[in-house]
Amino acid sequence: MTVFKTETTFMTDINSLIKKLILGFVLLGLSLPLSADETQINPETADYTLPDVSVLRQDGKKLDFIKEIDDGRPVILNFIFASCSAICPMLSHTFSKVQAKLGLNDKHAHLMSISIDPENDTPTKLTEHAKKFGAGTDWDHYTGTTESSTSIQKAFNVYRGDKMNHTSVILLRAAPSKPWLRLEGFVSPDKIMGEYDNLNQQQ
Amino acid sequence: MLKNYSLLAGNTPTPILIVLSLLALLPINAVAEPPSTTINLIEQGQRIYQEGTLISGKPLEGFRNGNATLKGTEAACVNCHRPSGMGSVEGDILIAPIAGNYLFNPDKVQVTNMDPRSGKKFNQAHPAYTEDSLATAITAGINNSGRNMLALMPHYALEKQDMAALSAYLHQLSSTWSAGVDAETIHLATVITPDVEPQRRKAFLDTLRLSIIQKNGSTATASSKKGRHHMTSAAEMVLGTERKWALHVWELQGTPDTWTTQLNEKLHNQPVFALLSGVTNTTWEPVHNFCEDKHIPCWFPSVALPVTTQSFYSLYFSRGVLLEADALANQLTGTNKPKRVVQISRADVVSTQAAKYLDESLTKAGIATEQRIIKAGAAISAQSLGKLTAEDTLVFWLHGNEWQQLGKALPPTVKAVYFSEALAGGQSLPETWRKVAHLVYPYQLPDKRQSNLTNFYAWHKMKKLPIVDEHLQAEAFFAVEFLTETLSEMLDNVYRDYLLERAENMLSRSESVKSEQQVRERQMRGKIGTAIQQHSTSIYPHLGLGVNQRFASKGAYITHYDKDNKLVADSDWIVP
Repeated sequence: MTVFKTETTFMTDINSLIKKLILGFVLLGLSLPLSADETQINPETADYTLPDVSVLRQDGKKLDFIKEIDDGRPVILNFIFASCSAICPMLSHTFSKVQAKLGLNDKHAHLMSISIDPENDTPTKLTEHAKKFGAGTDWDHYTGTTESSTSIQKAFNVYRGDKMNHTSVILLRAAPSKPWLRLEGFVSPDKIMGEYDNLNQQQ
Repeated sequence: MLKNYSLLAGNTPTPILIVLSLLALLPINAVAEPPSTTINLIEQGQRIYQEGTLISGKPLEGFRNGNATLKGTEAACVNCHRPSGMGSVEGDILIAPIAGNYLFNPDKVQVTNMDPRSGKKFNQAHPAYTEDSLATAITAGINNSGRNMLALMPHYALEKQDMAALSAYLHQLSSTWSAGVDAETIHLATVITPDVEPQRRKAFLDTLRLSIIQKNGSTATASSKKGRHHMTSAAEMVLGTERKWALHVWELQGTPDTWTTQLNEKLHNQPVFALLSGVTNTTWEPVHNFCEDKHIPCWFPSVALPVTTQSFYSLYFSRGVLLEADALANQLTGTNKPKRVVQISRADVVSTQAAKYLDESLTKAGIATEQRIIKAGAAISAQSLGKLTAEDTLVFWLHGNEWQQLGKALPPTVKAVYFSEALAGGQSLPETWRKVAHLVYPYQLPDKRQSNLTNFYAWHKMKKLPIVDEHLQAEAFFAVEFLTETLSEMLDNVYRDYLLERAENMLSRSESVKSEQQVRERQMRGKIGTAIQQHSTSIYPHLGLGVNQRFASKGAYITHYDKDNKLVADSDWIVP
């Protein structure tokens, strides 16, 4: 039988109390980055210069990214990776709901999910991922080389140096050459649809 | 399977929880086997946590406001809080640890989950949870400070009995250090199989042993604070969580079918926290399975044929010859397909499996193939390659120590010749073949990796260690460095599952930070110009993992020697 030991409790140790105080004062940096409260999400309008790179769609087709994004349809875009266990599934669920709501809408948007872990997310893996979240014909997933993915992330100002540093960002655009709307944080499908309808009405 | 019991008796669920809560506050030096009712409760909790299955057998349901209802595996706690219960950090989101100590033990909730990404956020002090406040958090999303938790945390529908089971599971989760660990020492083993050549074996062990001696030399443990601190953080110093390492060399004997027994016996005699690095020229399967079976991390061994079925405990640099076969298939099935591919291998498991694997892809692409196996002991010569035509493409799956034999023969006139660099074992292609052959190369190109490996070269020079097999020694060196850093960041949370989770989360980030730092240091010393880019500190262009990713490098080049005898890429970095 394995005998497990525990560290000696440092409650009684004056040094430990000092340590605790140091930790308390020096390291207390709790921040609360997110709230369930959507009123804190401020949509921002922005223009982005997109890179002239190729991407690979989930069906393995190599495509010109700019042509793909400028095909005339409204775009709702996010960044994901298949092995992400916390934020991305939530983002993909949100897209899944948006997809369902768009089905009731006569103006079909193109949902685009771009992998920020392109070497792992091969078209096969993205196909599995898309299937898991019930992606239909208007929802595509893209991968490519590390360089192409990085340049797209940089263009949209979402590149954070490493995939695990990623944050939740959703971008919407009514049509090519129109400005982008940027939503940061955990945005509900209803909020996205509201913003989407606003954008289209402004057209 | 259950791990790390730290529970005592209790007959009904409610008293058990009270006992558990009290016990969690006490130091535990002796552990009694929990009675079967408690085991049942913990096992039920484990199914909720890991699989999202309730006691009734129905799927667990979690609801995220305005987003989605999650069910079953998708709703399981393990997705975000991870197998160890230590949580993780994604972007600016801190997923709190929920392992027993952090929920219920006020002495131990202080410091956890140190992560360079979240900077100072590793102070997790909070009042201890009670059974009631835990239920409120899980079902209503309100923590025990009365705050709403992140929108990411679903609200769960749990019956009282399910809550009790989940709580019992959380109480014992990651509550004690894993086996092979004490307050001052972490025991590690490295496995060497009997087929490894003496010269490579020695070089491998020298690199491993000397780098561990150096690590220990600068480690100040809680009781021995003398010496230079190796520490990487203020928390590590303040908490005194550094530990020395004891390396046990496990040299296997005989045939692979006897290795499992040998490994079990060695583990019984000396519990170890993890297997560090390791080397073989043949199958690694018994070692891989041993690690899965015993839940022991198998940390970046140097093997050409890793096991590729989804598993948790083994981390590899790459898929080795299988990755090479895929990269080659990618190249050969493009434009200008060969008429026929002839593969030459020995009868050993690594080369025959590589050939078989490539054969399948080529056959699917409509390319004719032939596998020729040279019998064990038979010399390799022009004759032993068999009949070839000028339209054939020749692929050799031979270990580097056999390349020289081949060098005595002139290369036949064929369309193209390919060799596997993963099998090179420190050898280089014979001069006569360099003019015609291509090398499938799953590493960074030699001229591009000089800056990545600056520390590796300088250290070996300083220690007067010859570079016998650069791939092998650079991999062993990296394995030690990355383990040092990972364990350091884990502070006192020395749990096996947590080690693997940290590697998944931190590898690519750690690589980019370290290489930036090295470039900066060299620039400060005036060693190089500002133009030099470095993306890695290993022999690979870049390394990265993620949840359930087990192969850190995912691509390969096809290369050849140019007229100046320099290895150059024919292809982009192919990620098949």
